[in-house]
Amino acid sequence: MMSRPTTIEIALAILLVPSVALAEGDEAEPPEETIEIVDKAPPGARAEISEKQLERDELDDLHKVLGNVAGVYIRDEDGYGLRPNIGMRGAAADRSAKITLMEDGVLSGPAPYTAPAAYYVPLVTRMSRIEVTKGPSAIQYGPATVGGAIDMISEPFPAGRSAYVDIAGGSDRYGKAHMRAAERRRTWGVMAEFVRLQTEGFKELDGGGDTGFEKNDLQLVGRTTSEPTASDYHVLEFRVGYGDETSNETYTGLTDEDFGAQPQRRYRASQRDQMNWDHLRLRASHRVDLGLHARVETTAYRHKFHRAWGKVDGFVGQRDFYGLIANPDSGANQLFYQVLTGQIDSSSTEDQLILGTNDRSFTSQGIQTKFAAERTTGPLKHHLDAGVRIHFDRADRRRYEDTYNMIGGELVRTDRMRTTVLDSRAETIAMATYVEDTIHYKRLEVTAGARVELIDYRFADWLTSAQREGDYGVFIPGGGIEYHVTDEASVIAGVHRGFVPVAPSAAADVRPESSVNYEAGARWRDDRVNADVIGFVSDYSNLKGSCTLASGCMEAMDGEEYNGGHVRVWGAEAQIGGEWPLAAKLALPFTVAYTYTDSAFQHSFSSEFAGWGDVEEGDQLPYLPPHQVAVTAGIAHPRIEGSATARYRAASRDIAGQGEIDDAVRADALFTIDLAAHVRVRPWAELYTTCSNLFDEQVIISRRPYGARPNPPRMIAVGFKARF
Amino acid sequence: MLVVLASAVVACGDGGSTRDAALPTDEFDRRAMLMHLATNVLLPIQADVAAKAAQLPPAILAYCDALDAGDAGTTLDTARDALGAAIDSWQYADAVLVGPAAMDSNAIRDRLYAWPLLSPCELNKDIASHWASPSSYDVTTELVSTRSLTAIEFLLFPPSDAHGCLQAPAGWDTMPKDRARCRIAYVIAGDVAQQAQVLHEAWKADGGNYIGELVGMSNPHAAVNLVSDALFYMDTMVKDMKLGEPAGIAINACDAMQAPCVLEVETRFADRATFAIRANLAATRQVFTGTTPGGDGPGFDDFLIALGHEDVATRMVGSLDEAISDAAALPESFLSALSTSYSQVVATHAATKAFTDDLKSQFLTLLALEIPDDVATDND
Repeated sequence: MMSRPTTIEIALAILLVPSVALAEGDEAEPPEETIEIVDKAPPGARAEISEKQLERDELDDLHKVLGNVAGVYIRDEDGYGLRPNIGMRGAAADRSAKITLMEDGVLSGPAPYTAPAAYYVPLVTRMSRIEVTKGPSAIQYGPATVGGAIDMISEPFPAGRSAYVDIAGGSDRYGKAHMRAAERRRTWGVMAEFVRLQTEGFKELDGGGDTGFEKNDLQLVGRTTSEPTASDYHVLEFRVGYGDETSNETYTGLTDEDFGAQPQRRYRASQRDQMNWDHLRLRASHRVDLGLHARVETTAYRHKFHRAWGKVDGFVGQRDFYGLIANPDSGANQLFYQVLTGQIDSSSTEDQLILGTNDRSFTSQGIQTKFAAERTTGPLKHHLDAGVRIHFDRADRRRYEDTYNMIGGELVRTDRMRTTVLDSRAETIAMATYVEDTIHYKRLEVTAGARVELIDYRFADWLTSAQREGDYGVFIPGGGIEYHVTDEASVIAGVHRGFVPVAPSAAADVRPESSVNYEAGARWRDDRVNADVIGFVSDYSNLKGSCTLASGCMEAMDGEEYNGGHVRVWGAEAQIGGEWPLAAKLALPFTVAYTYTDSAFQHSFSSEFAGWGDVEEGDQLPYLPPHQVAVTAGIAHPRIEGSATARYRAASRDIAGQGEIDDAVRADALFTIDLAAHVRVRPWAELYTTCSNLFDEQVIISRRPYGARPNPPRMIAVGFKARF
Repeated sequence: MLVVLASAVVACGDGGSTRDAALPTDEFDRRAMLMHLATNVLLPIQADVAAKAAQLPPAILAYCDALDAGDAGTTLDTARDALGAAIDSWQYADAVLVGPAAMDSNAIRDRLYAWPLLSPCELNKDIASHWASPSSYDVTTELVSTRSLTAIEFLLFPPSDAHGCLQAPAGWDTMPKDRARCRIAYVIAGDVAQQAQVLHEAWKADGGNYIGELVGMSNPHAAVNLVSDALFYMDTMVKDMKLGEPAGIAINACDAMQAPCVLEVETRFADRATFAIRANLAATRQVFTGTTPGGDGPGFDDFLIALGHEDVATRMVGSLDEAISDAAALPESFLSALSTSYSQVVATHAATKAFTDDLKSQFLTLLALEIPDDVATDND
């Protein structure tokens, strides 16, 4: 068998060929660089959503984008994925707090250690591809290793001067403007990118009003590089980005009866609900390729994020909004429900509505260095990855409450003074190191590695003067094997420790989430088809429940965490994709992603965590559908391209339980079909149209935070793209 | 019929909690305490409420008839006295709300006494519609904010003839308002009397037998936790809503701190808040100590002592007694107390807070009990 070139060899070859050409010619065209010099996929489950796929589907919603990846669970909330709830292999989806989210390899969450709830995620519209890493490879990324990592890769620097425009419009006054321009010379380059998304929203507010959002994102990138002929090639890059959002989003859903009558309805009491945030990101990175077989990349980053979400989430006399909407006819809830819907006016202090504003400021900053190298020692080829990161993040949490009377369908401010019910600061400094070696011997690849997290945290409650601090370390080993049975087929197996740090705001008896994760399966790779079929088991010694208002917890519990103890999650996932040639210039691109999942608490207990409640041994985890499948098929021609994606997600439960899912706690099964078509009218221009949820199917996809929520209805968009 | 209803109430209720507390390992006889409190404290309270509520409809009917005849005489005072007696009686039950009245989001409780929920506009609409067409009015389908003793108080002590709505209810200006108010008050009083009877039957051994259910729960510690949940009425209702908010010690509807806020005063139309606070404190003491007019029995103080925490038991009873003493020194008119005896109101609040501070910390910790779900961990 011919020895296959390693990834690093291929990458460097690509890098060097144009470099040599340039050395002989003029200085106008810089080298065509590759971004990935290093194979980031040692044995273990991994998926990638390619630029081609992103371009074909034209999605702005990360939920929908990741709906094509096996082993990833989505809990929809606002229908646009503004604040994604993404889980992986049983890790709870709530605010994506248990997975590691990154942009270009840098932690992107507001405060990944201190407050991991991802109220900010990079805009998928400006991404070139997305990598999803599960299994033992996840130990390269942290802090959360229990589910996996998602790395959103932004647009790479182009080879030369270029420009890009994408303009679209559609249902509910959806609008998109995406522009990018870049200049690249021999040793320097600049790039600017701007995205604006807006819609008036698909929800129908009683009495009228905008339920949509506006988002802007601006990014400027500058870079300088070594001479292309340099033996050690350096790249220094500076990146500054700013994003903001105003979204008229609410935590308030519907009663089941109201949902049945009008799924897109929004109650009058939510008329003032609005989220505002702004995000500043600064990044400087340096990369050096040391000869042919080693690379060091260092990145310093600083992110500032401020958000204030004001939304109605209680009455003075009834703070349990979830219970109120779940049981609108029970006792005094009848009264509160009628005020909530504007049928009657507030008439006492008790039925005044509370508009609580969660005002948060986050800082996330650090410096990280990654080292990758390949060495051959005798018959063994080593691929070594190592890294160190020093990271600091801080969360300043404030919540203040104003009260409003419902008067004639309008919210009117009362005389009750504003109250501050939460004012705290939490911060964490962490040093993370990892090393992983993949050893190739003939047809066998063996990977072994470990990650060490040293975490120091502090928490101060300014209202109660309570303070606590602590530190701990955690050792996260992992490893896997891949045996290539043939050039195309291989079998894989792996095991690693899963870990999610405990938030500084948690009570002293809350332990970090910890699990042992196993996977085994088979893989097929040829020119036309990629396929992975993998079984997995996540054996949690302690599952952690994190309280947010989004998960249905009451405001007094926000930030608290709970031990869930021993839990097992197991399942199987199949990820198949490829492009089948049908004729000259005509191909059939396709992907299939199927996930089967089951779970069971291994003991009985009672929890204040909203999603668990009174747990019996054998209860399944909430929002973990047993079956998920997404099938995409299309026709690709240089001039025209069309595709259809069918997705099915089985019903899941709102709180832990077993057996038949009671209607009151059911998140319904959902089947949707999305269509996309592109026509290249010029070599540089194309028209496209998309239709999501073709059959306009709407079901209760979630009951969190407060009440039944719908998936988006049918939406149609048309757009125009040009590349220069 | 009442027995059937009472049985249904107990059978269909959610029990107030589904905690699965660990089985106790100490020697304290929780079932004995539960039996004593249920039989000698809680059941008599329900019986008294039923008796007092039963006297209300005839008293109001007499007033209505007298109004129709053109001379109310003393019938209004008699009706108001009957209302005061019923509310005072209910204050004992409200302070130790366990079992049927607490089930299904306090459904029966709110039908009997919905304070602080009152919708004057909606109630005034009901007055007008009932006056125009009595048969079209069904009290059982009404919101709790337009029924219960709270609504009757508003009807027998109307603050004004203003309807409080954006648009006047049909016929409002022309109807004889006192007679219309009285007639609907009579219907509501009939419903209150029936609800009180249902509640009493739900407790009785030959009715719904909630006593048997409570004492017979498989985990007696969880049953004790249901009773301890009720004690938190002292924190959320007495300390905060009945004393703190009216006195401006806590955030209130008037945007006024350290100053009275009449809007927040309980039963402000009848001005019986002082009586209410006294009754609440007395009932809490009975349950906490197990001491009734008939003698002493096992209560939470004995539970604490049995586990070696006599100091905490003594301190908590002392705080309660101080609060009771301070409340006894309040003028009977709480509205007057806010202006003329403000410091006494503050003192009563402070003594109550001393009790609830221990209740939320030492008490729960030492007895391994859980805080009720709806009690926020505030910043006291």
